[in-house]
Amino acid sequence: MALWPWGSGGLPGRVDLLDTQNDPLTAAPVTGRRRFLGLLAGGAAVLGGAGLFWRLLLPSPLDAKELTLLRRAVDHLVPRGHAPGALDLGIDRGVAEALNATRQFRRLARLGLAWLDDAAGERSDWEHAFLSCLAQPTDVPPRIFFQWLRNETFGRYYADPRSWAGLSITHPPQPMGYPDYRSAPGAMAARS
Amino acid sequence: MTGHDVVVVGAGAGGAACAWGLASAGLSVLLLDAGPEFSPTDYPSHRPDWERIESPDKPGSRGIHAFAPMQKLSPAHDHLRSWNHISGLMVEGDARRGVAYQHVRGIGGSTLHFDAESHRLLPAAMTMRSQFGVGADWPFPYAELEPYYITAETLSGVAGAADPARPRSAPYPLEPHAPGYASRLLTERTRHLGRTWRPNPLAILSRAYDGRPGCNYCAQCNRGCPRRDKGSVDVTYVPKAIATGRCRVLSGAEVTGLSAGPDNRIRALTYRDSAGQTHEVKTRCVVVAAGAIETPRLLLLSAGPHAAGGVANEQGLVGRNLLETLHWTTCALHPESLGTHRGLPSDIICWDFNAPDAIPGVVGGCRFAPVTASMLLTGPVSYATRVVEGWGRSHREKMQASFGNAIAIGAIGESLPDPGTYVDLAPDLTDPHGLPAARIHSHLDDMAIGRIEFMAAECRRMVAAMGAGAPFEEFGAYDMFSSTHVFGTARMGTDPATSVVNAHGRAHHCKNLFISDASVFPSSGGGEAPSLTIQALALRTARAIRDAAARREI
Ligand SMILES: Cc1cc2nc3c(=O)[nH]c(=O)nc-3n(C[C@H](O)[C@H](O)[C@H](O)COP(=O)(O)OP(=O)(O)OC[C@H]3O[C@@H](n4cnc5c(N)ncnc54)[C@H](O)[C@@H]3O)c2cc1C
Ligand code: SF4
Repeated sequence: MALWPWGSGGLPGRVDLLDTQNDPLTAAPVTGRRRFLGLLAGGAAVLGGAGLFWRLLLPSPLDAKELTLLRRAVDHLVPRGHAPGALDLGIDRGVAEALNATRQFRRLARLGLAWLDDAAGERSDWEHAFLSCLAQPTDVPPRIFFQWLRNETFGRYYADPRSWAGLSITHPPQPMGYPDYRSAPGAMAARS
Repeated sequence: MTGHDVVVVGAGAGGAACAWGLASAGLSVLLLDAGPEFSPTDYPSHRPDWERIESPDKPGSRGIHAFAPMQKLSPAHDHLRSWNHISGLMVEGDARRGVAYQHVRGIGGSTLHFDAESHRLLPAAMTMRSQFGVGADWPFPYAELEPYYITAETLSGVAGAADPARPRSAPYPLEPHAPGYASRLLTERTRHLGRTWRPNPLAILSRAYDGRPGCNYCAQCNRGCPRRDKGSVDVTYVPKAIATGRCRVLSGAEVTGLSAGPDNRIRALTYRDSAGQTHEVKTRCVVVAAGAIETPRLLLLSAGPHAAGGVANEQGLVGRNLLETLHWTTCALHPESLGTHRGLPSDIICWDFNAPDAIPGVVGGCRFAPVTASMLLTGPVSYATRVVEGWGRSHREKMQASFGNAIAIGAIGESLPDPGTYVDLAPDLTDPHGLPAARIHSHLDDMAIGRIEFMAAECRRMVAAMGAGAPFEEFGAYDMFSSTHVFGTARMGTDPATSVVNAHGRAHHCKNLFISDASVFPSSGGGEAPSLTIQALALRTARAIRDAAARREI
């Protein structure tokens, strides 16, 4: 039967630019890569002018301010509630590591975080920042970054069983399997 | 290296079955596969982060391939685009896109990944040319394949129920699985549409059988089965072939060329081992079973002084007649708690439109099945990223309310040959050894688009009849090539002018070369999953080789 073609836990998106398994630049075909670089340059010019553009080309890891922005974004995606929040589970550290892994991801993150920070404004309104980002076309870097960040944050968070409280899942599929698959969910537990 | 009666290239569905058939008939076999070996402990479904781990996956378990540019998409068919409500269109732009030939390299081949649907072809789907003037006829009738189907079902451990449309000479070896909760609802709630469902024949054990345990319904077949109850060929034919004492299996052995002699026979083949060393194997008989993309590639790569244009390619037919997976899936959230993360990938099947003339206005049939697990909608990560919109507290609340309630109905239809759909060698992409990769060309004609149109409409109707909300994701072949079932690139037939191999899989002009994988299919069927037929054909080819050896022809 046909299988989901984007691999484990992946979200479909820009097939060429948004590829969480690969580097978004090297994964893109040549034309896509050029376009992506052009978009990065354009985005930088709108936001911070030449300074940000040159910083985008630097190979340095995300700095303290950028890491703080990242923490805020991750926290807004999965705040603490009845279940632990993403920060409680250290998800921001894993996301930062993934972003710092390649120069291209660092560039994307640098631009995306600057864009979100700008959109959040002085009131640090991350809700507004996220909504404004979703209003962007799907192939501009801030939107690509946001999609990646959402994917990666949820992906890491829900891969930790501490996040499963309140969901109808209590264990990985094996070794127990689901011998109750013929009954309505919870029916077996209710009977026993 | 010498000393084997037959060398089999590829240990997937066709190669493994053929190797067992040969070894159990007394011939000595060397079974080479480019990929690694997998063990049940390699699969991640016992880990909490199982959804984030690509599986089955190991170094060397994916081949590379290129795609030629594909046709323009028409705004008139925008309703057939693939999309997700969170991320938008899966393929942007106005051209169809090559996304994947989905496969696994390894001992077990793509069956490591498969859902174990084990279908016999509908007899009428084997005579498309004579009945409907399209495609090609099979060079023998269903009855000829029937005894081999029985052997393949017995060796794989197929659980199923008799189906009058597909006559059988003995019952299935295992009783069918009981349908899951959501599948029972689907059956009830689509009855008023006239839909009939039956247990899907699966090479998944409904009880302990042949030294393997019964299934525990974890819904992770695509990621590799850790219990070995799924009949991927690494746990069925391969160990049985080894147990004969006449089959040697080498993993990490990529065959890079066949050398044809002046007498229209293959003299030797070369393979590279995982350390990069090249070896030559002299042989009396070769079976190529590298799958419908890599088999034509290997034949084309083997062009030489006695095989201009490639081995078995006298008529320029190698790589032509590629048949792809014509599919559609609609996914939606149901308001009731269904627990669809449990069970089997496609436990029931609807064959109502399977006959070649069943879809109004279109030649070639299709089938429908619940495919929630095949779409990997079985864990919280896929729900959080693909199903539930937004973020923050409301996302969490929706996660709690919706986990386990996703349903996906999928369809696969007949794929007919198209002059624009074929495999050749890529001019601009090479593998790590510097050899040209396969390049896939694909074109959908109006009839193919009509079939997708019908499948999409029916899937949507069934999802609505189930009582689900609006779809959150749809995905189909109209705007992308993403194929799990590929066939036809070394077609079998009686006429050397229109086929590459004869009715036994033997190359028309190369007497010691046989092909034993999905490449030989003259037609795809109306959505039937191919592995059981590939195995039945392979067992028949093994019989033909044994007979040819007895006659001292090889
Ligand atoms: C996700 C998924 C789900 C599927 N579900 C089903 C299902 O439910 N039922 C069904 O019937 N089918 C299903 N299929 C399809 C099925 O797996 C394939 O049709 C079948 O395995 C094809 O058999 P084959 O022998 O043609 O090729 P494969 O099984 O792909 O085997 C080819 C083998 O050849 C090897 N090879 C390639 N090139 C070389 C070389 N140069 N040298 C040496 N070795 C080489 C490869 O490593 C591979 O192991 C599914 C496929 C996928 C991907
Ligand atoms: S559902 Fe059954 S066959 Fe599939 S992986 Fe789980 S245990 Fe194996």
